Amino acid sequence: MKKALVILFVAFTGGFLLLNVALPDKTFSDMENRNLAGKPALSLQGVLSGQFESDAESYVTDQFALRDHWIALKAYAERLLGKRENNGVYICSDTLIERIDEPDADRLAANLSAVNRFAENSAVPVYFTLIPSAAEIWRDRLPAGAPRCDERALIERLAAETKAVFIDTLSALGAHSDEALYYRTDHHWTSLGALYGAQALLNGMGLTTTLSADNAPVRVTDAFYGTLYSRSGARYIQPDGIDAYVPGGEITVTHIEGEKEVVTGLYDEEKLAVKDKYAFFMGGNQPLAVVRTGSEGQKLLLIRDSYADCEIPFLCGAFSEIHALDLRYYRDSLSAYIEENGIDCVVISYSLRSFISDTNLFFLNR
Amino acid sequence: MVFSSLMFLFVYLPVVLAVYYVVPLKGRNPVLFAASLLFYGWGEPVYLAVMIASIAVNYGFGLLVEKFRAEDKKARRVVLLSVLFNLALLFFFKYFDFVIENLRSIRLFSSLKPLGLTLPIGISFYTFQTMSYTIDVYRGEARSQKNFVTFGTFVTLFPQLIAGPILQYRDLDDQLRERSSSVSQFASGVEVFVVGLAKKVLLANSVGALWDVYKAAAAPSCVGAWLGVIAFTFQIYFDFSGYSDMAVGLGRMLGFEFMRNFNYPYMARSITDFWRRWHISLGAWFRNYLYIPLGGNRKGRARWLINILIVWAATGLWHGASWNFLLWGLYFAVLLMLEKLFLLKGLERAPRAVGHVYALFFIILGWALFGLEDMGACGRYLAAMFGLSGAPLYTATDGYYLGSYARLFPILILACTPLGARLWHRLKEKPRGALALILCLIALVLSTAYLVDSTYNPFLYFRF
Repeated sequence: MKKALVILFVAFTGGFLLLNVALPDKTFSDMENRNLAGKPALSLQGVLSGQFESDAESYVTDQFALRDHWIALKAYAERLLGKRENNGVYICSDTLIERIDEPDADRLAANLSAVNRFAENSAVPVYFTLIPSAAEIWRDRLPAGAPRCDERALIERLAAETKAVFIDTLSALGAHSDEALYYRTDHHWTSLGALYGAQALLNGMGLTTTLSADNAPVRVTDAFYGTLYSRSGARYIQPDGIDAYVPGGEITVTHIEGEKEVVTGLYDEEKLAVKDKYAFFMGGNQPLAVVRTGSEGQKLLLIRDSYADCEIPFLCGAFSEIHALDLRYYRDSLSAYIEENGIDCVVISYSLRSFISDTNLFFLNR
Repeated sequence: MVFSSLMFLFVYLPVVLAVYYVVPLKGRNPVLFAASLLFYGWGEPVYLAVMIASIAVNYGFGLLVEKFRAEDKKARRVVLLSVLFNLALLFFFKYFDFVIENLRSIRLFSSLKPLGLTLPIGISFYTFQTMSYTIDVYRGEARSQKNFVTFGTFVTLFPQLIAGPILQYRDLDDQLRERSSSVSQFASGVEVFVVGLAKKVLLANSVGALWDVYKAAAAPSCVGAWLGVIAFTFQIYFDFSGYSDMAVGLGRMLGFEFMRNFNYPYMARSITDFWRRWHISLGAWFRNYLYIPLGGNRKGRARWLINILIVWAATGLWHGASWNFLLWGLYFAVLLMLEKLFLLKGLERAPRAVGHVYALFFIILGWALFGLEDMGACGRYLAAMFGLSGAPLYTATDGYYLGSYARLFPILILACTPLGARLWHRLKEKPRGALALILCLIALVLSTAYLVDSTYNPFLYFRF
């Protein structure tokens, strides 16, 4: 038995060492939707500064054999221990909900003042909306007493303090809280949630809309496993379906990255074959996309995060052009952009979860 | 490098063990010395220079003490020099900034600037070990070590380098010169190591996340504050004793026997008893090299009490250069004095439960002092514990956390008692061996899973 114990230990540690060496490195994890650390570059300076060592530790962790299975095993053990939360995701009876904590006051104040400064200096009307997270709208599904940010109080405060015209998406979603407004396995809202959001937005801008949830959507996939599924490790949760309400039709989307322009449609069918199927809408994270809708109407500059990707289809009937811009990737002057492109109005649309932690909003005023 | 990392478990350890057992016996110390330097330099190679300088100087001191054995005056001077050198090294890296920061509040010194150096990892452990060496050689309790590599191996021995136990040279002298290794010793090393790994990764890290919640809370409720500090009570024990177990286990895998560092400290029935069970190697060091040289309890009651005060102030400060650690040490000094003067006799006569409750209450209170370095935050936290902060008694969030940890707490409590060990030893040899195999595999697999998906894996001793 003594010998067996020694063999077990040596085989376990040495075995995984050999396995990790033998298996080829992966550059991307579909499951986690992120690039994995590669072999660290060995240099004297890197070793002396400790950078090489920390890169090497990331490399070993990221490339560890059966990584996804270990993560799932840990999630399973946590569940067995009675934990209702893993890696910042609440595991509720029928859904996963991302945990949102009270924001950092300084970051929040800086972001709000960036929005206000932009609204005050803008030559065209500026609308501002914040989309609450599932943790607010579905708060009664959270484990009892689960710590969360009071998003309603926060949004009401920001609405009172903003110099832009504030649009109340929270109430619009709150009125339908028993519907499938958010994915169960992802932090985004669903097309249905976005539909209610778009209604609120258009009403708030004084535009008429014929949007209705009564029109049956097209189910484009039934096998969407989102970011919360990956982070929580809760592999037993059933996949989500993705719906499209608005036909892509003649609508063209021009993706602009520096000098490069690519013309596509509203939807990217190819993304339905990869893990991150939410990228079906607008092809995923795009720095700047110009949607030519073929409708009559104003030209809208939409400064947004990824929640807007599935909302844009609903806005197509109300505007002639929608310039969807992601501040994370756009570094030129916005006022110049508005002038050059004949923009009539601006909507700043963020999910609350990214607004409270965003570090790029100051680019609004460049 | 830390033990509870994939890099250590699945790269460093198997490679080092393989090389260690492949080279001929004579090569084992050099292999161990080189491996230990790699272990130490990993992440902070600059401080290898400090380490090597410390080894060289103390090696020299040891030879000098030996040389002047016949001339006591000279030998004493060398020992004094060695102690001063080691303390100066420790002072410079660990306490210099603390002194400067406090002096700055006096106008005369307001222009002084702290150095802002990061503390070389494990410096408090290895300076104490090298001091023990020259003193032991002077006292004739150990032979001086003529072989530089062997001496270097003693100082850097990676199993105990960064978090103890603090080994005294005389305990290791023979083992450094010659040690055997056997399958059964290696196997028992595996058992102890895996227990330590599980303590650290599965128990301490899990419950430590709860302490972090309440430590950071702006205004914890009364129940929450207790929940938090009890979580820390578990975390520090399983973390620290887990490290010590891993050290003992790794030592055995390499053919060494180290002293036991913890003996079910939360089973103590008095504070005196607690300190016989907690971080035993540190207590032993201070007794051998400070308390007894000061005269211990043999020079009258007044000197005795002063000696206790000195030793516990030093013990407190050893844990970190900050007022709360000093306060924590003095807090125990006062409790120990009260026990020695009045309480112990009463406690012996009282029912056992009284002693347990009394000791645990003051131990837990002590961890609140230890865990919160900012004195203001510490005061606010203590106020919350005793319902003086104006915060509510209990909140729904406390309920959430109580529910989340409801299954872990009974496991933690059981693991603090010798119950498991007692049952273990009652088993017959054969089923015990089979069970050991199964339990080790489960612990290794689970620990690996928690390390691969680790969001929380702190190293608590960077201030020691």
